[in-house]
Amino acid sequence: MKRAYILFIAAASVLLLYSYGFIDPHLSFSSHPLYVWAQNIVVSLVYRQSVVAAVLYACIIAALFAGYGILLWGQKEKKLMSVPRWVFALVIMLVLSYPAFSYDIYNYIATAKVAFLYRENPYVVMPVEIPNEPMLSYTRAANKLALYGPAWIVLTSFPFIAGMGNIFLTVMSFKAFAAVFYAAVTFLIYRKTKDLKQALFFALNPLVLIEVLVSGHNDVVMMALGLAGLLLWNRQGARYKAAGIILFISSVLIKGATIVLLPLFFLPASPTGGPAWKWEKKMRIAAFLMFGVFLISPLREEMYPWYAVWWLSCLAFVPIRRKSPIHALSFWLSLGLMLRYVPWIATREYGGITPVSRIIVTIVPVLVYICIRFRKKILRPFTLLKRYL
Amino acid sequence: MKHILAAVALTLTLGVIGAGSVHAEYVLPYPGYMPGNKLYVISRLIDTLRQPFYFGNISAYKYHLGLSDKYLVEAKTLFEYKQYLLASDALLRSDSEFARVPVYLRRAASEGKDVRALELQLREAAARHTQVLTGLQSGLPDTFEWKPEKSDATTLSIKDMLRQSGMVRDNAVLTL
Repeated sequence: MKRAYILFIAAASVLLLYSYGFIDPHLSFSSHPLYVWAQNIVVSLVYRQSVVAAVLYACIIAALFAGYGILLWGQKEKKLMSVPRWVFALVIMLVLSYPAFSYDIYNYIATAKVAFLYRENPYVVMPVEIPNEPMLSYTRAANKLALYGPAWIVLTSFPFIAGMGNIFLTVMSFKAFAAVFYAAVTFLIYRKTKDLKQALFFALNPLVLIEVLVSGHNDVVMMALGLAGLLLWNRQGARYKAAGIILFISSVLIKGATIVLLPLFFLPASPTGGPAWKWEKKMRIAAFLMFGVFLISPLREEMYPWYAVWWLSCLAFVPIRRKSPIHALSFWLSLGLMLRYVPWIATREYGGITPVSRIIVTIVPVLVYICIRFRKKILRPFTLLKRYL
Repeated sequence: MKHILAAVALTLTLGVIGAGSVHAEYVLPYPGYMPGNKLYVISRLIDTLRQPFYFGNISAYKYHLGLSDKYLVEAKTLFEYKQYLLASDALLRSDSEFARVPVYLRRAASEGKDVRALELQLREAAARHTQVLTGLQSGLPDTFEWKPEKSDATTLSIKDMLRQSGMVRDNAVLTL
């Protein structure tokens, strides 16, 4: 536990400072000399010594995944009786980090601004159509209409108001908002499974930590509402079922991906006249369904790492056994997905060799795991051949 | 061979010269469902029902300008098919929508929104509308008398109506 603690806290501390190096050149959170001095150091590292920055990022990721692996597979179960206090410190540090690896949070804020400050319909008016909006200088995809469903736009009113018109406070309130739903998913997993290890499988996955707490992606909000809806639907009583349906519809009206979970609402209580479908089995199906959507996501744009939150949150409900291949595979795939940022940090380009490098770094950890895990089966034909010869 | 080379050279020259003066001109929509089509009533109903969706002054600007464009194209098509009564109705609707557009622009400007690009767009829209109206004037009669079987005749002053529509566009631009 101590080793995991050191790795997580050390990596999060470095990430907290390092992340501010990615700040957009047109954006400044403070003009205080000390802040400007510190920011200039990390900015020059990230923008001028990009290879060093990429190596540093890879080290942060390696430390986080090492800590995660130790915590999940290197500990005896009796040691995980309560949530370690340092997890709260970790969450706070990551929420205070700069959303370094994605501009999506600015897109959320710009859309909320169109809706709640300018009182225009964000499905009709693009942020770029209000040319005197100061956010345009550091917002990407400002030339697009609202990308998310109406439930998300309504929900963003809370962090937007909490931001009180200050960009730093608004960014932090959007991240804190994502953190609330991150806590909600973790709570749901623990409440349903009564297994802290399963809750930490989700909560301490470095992909979840970075994509939800650092980048503030709204996928966790969609999953929290979808899973809460499914949980309530499975309870007895019309009120719970109605609340479950409302939450599920809200989830679908955030991003739409959870629509594939709809068949789970219609699963018969007893498929063959035998015992009712177990929750664990339902969640296994849910994880596969969400993984399916994740796999076909490149058809639309590309395989974004934060889409993994969809299936990771479902998979966390499935008990973790020592040699459970799906959990181990999720570990290595999460690692591969987080490594996708390395080529971009090193080259600062989306074109060139970056797309191919991204595919390679995503696949290699998974292939390495498959080769090690199934080495006997893979090598069997060669062994038989050797014996025969 | 010489002719081919000359043609290629001319194309390239014109392309290079033209590339410097590319201008995205204001484009009117395709005509939608026309009166007589079963879906026309539904289309008109949808036009009305979607109005609340366009809350906000820039949204409302887009809504009314979009409807004005749509009804102008409808009127043009109907005039060309000599459906003068229906065409005049569509043109009046287009005028009514166009006259409302500057109001929303002024409101948006008063809210501190930079509407210079939208003003330019409205000027281009007005110019395009006027071009369509001018084009129609040459091929249409000055007046038209519609005689229904069971009611009194209606006389339409088509040319006056077209001039009036042009003035609506001019006035809208002048108020900017």
